[in-house]
Amino acid sequence: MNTDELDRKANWVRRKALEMCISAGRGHLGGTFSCVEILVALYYGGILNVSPLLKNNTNRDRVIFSKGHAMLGLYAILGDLGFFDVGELENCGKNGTILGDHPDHLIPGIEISSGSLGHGLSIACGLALSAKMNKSNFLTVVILGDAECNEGSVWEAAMFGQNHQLNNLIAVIDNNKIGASDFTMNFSGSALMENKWQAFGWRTIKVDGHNFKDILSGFERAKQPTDKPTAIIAETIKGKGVSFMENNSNWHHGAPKGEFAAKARQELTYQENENAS
Amino acid sequence: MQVKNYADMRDAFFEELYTLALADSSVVLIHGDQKAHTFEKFKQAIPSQIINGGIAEQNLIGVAAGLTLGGKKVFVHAIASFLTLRCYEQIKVDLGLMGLPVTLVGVGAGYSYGDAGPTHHAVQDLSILRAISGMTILNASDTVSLSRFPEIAHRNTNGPLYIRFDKDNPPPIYTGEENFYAGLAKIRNGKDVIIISTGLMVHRALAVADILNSRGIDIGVVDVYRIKPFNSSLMAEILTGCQKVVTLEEHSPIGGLGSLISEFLFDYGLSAVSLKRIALEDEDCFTYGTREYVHAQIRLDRDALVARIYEWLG
Repeated sequence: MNTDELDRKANWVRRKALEMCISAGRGHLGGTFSCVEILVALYYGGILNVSPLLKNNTNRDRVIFSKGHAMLGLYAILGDLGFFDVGELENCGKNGTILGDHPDHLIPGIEISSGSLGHGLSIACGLALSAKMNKSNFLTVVILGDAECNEGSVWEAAMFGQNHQLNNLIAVIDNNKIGASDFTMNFSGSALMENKWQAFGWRTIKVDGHNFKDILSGFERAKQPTDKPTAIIAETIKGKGVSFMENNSNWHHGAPKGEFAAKARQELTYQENENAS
Repeated sequence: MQVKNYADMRDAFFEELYTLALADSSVVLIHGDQKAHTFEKFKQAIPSQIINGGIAEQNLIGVAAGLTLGGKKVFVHAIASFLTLRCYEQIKVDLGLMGLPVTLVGVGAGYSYGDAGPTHHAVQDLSILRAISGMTILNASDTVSLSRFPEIAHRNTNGPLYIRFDKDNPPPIYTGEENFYAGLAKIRNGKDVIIISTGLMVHRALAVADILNSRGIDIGVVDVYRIKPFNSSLMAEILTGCQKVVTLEEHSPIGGLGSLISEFLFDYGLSAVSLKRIALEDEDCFTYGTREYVHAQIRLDRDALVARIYEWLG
């Protein structure tokens, strides 16, 4: 897909996530919207070797979605790509759905159960190390939230990844700068995310997390030879795409209702027939 | 199978794991900055199959999960209390919930690290790991049983497995003829009273039984070397005709062997059997000294146990 098509796809993913959230009456739209372009770039931008046909192939690339609460966009993408019946998206949040409020490993296309934060990078390190041991060339990409990086286990894993020179591992930090209740600078300190990963010996690449040209170029650079794991620091906006949600910690969790729902829909004016995947 | 001589329990486990690892290159041992004689053999012969992951137990569990997803048979080793309590959520989420057959190898059961103090005592690990769905728990009473556990773990494909053992080198209980798949064994016949124990305390149970036998009480001993899944039918068979049961463990009274047996007796319709649970008190141990000294202070030494059981029997 070219960047125009990716932009349209991102808009579709946001609208789909919004509808799933409204229909369920709950969901984490803020963190979902901040990582839409990252996920769309990965799945539609030619970065990953993944598809429903490869789901049992040991050489498939692995996406570890560590910030599990932001799963609405990921579910939309996996449904769109045919990992499961796209109609299941309508059931998200309803009794008996396979699509829980946090992703589990039983969902086709989901590699690990996530939801408790700070687990994904360790597991991603193990996968990347297994690839090196098995002389397999698959890539492991893990998506972390910036507030998730408060978890100490993230830094245990960062140390491990550097020590084992896991150059087949990319951590994308969705740096939206807001946690569940407040701006991260008010509870995590002011040290820059990029500096932290550099201090742990990682190659860092900073990108505009809502600009496909920038994101794709970041992933290309991340695939260039190195003896380090790579952290892509994606500068993002929590709630991106819906004006009243943007940079607003009140929209970490919750479904818009009434005039809020109408306004969100108005801003994400996507027509179903535009979704030509 | 011949009974081999090992330097200590850790040696018994890792010597046998090393043999398995030589034959199966998918075996990976990851440890939290630990030492064992056998580690040198790993480093010499199969260096890619041993990883020092540093003092970062939570990460070790996650890395083990990832390695397992990548096709490896992973053994994680650290001091028992740190390997279990510190990483409880990693064990729940990364292993239990995803059903990954990672083997956790914890040294320092109970008061093994007595002088190190209560930070190092593994006296709640059985309670909390029993609550992890799909978890198998093996608790070794001697090097013979422990030396067979690597093979059991290597064959396991069904969820996480926890192996705990003592730091010291207790004398052998088993002959090497046993296969250790039954989960528990009657190691002393007796009809009036049966002491059910696990781990190092099995030796104490035998010593107590010797004395009580000499006083005319027909007392049996059962070693529950697999805490979970518990072999209820075999235990029921062993308890046939027995009306009095004592459980003996060096573990919290909440959720360990005594809890397990009381749950079993109730659930199996054997609640008419009288049960005396002997465990640690529900408090942390700040008494320092040899294991024997500490046990004497808390009435877990042989003579105190004889008196406690004698008193209970009336």
